[in-house]
Amino acid sequence: MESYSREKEIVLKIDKISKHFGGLKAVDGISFDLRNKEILAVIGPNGAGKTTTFNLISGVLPLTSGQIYFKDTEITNIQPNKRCKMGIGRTFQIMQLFDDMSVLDNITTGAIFGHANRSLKEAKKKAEEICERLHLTEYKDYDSSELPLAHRKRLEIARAYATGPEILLLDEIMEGLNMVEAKEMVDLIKSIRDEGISVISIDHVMHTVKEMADWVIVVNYGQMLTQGTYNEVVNSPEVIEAYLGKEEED
Amino acid sequence: MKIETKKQTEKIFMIGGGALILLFPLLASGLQGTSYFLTIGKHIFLYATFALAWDMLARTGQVSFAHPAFFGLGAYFSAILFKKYAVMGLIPSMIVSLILCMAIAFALGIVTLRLKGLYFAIATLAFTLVMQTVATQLDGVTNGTAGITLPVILGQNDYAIYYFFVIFMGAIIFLSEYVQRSKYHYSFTAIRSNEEVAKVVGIDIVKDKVLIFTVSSGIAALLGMFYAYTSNFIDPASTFNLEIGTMGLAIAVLGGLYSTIGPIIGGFILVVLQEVLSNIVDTGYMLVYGLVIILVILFLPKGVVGLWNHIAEKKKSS
Repeated sequence: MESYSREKEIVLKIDKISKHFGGLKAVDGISFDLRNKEILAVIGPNGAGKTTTFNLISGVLPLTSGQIYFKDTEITNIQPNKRCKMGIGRTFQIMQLFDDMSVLDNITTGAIFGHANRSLKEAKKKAEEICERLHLTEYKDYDSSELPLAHRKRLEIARAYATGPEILLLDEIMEGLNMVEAKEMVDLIKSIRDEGISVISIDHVMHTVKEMADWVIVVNYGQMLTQGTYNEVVNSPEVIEAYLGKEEED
Repeated sequence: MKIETKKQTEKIFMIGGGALILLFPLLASGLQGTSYFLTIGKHIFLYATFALAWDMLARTGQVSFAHPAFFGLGAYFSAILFKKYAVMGLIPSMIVSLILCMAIAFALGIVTLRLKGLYFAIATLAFTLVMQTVATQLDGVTNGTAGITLPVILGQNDYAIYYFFVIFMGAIIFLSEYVQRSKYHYSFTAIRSNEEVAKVVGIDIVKDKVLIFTVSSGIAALLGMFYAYTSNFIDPASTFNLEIGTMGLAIAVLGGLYSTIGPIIGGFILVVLQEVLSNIVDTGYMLVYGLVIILVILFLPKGVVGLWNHIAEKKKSS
């Protein structure tokens, strides 16, 4: 049986957050926390409220209720650009690259504005380094719209990584990747974690969750169903019921 | 398309066009009707600079129709302070006028730049129409439709006026290029691509949009003042003129949006085209002019600069 200790500093604390769209409770009182140097996977059926939770953490959407703490600071009402500068970077479920920019400029944009006082020259140098590290150097002068899918996904990560995050939110980054590309992506995410960046990853691809997640939370109908290590959650009766439905009694 | 090609295109147009603009008065000095050609040159630089100012804001994805209002406000504030009430000299009146216009633009920007796309365009259009009405109705201050007659600066010397507009356009080209090579280029392009994403990569989108709206409107105001003091006369119809705004938009689109050189090339083509057509087509030349613009926009969505880039890239790859 695997063992994972969560005796580490809490870097993000989500406290009973809710988001209601009229009568629809997209997120309904979810609480969890993210520990330092941890990969936390968020799984759940479509429409469970996973991406909405990301939008609340990154500040794209305002909360209906609840609080969010980044380390010891409450960030519930802080603007998204300020949250980014504090150290929260993210990618998007439907890729949102700056298509009018080159690959290098996409990364440079993250490197400039994710930091309070980084000069353009420093940002460009940082972007070149990140390009190299994420194997994008060959494409750096091309428009981002010209990249193949796996490289576009890498570019999304590269731009978020360039903001210098302490927490990285990855929204379905494995979606559409083949086995080889997914393996490379897992290795990349693990190496980012090993640098000291905590990662929350929304994922539907269970073998990648198994391979990289230190901790897994399962959400359904906007609520937290359960949490634990990969083996603990996949064997949980509530999770099996959420994904496969309840077996009828004879 | 490689970014390198786009930069090379800008360089070629800048050097070639710059040399032509500077040498043109010398080359034309022996010809008949030099004054006419220099006046056409002045119009080209006026419209091209206006379009460049408009384009600098458009780089954030905002289509503004408020620029004709600032063109008119710049002209009127200065004319009222300098000529109508004669409370200060020409240069101080221009400085005060510029400050007033930029303050109004800042306030308008704070209110309207949270709007997106069509809503922003409509709000700015309404602003221009309101300002035109105010200038017409407030005849105690503005002389209404009778307008204000002004002295012409630079001793009415066509050569001096020509080079004055060249220098001002050069200054705005320099400013535009500074923006293109600064952090603002990244911020504006990101905002134009996707405001939500721009926010989560750390960009303060409201601050940057208000800043460029204020600067861009300030340039329009200065152009209004220069127009006033080189044209001898202003009235609400000629200064708060939506045609100036739509012409600025058409010039930027025709030349190539989001670049420094695009609006300059577009200004040259459209003003010359308008002049040529008005001379060779007896009646209804504006119809032909409009048709040409429609065709260009349909078949050259990235403007003349985009076409040039495309050809250069093809040549390179072959």
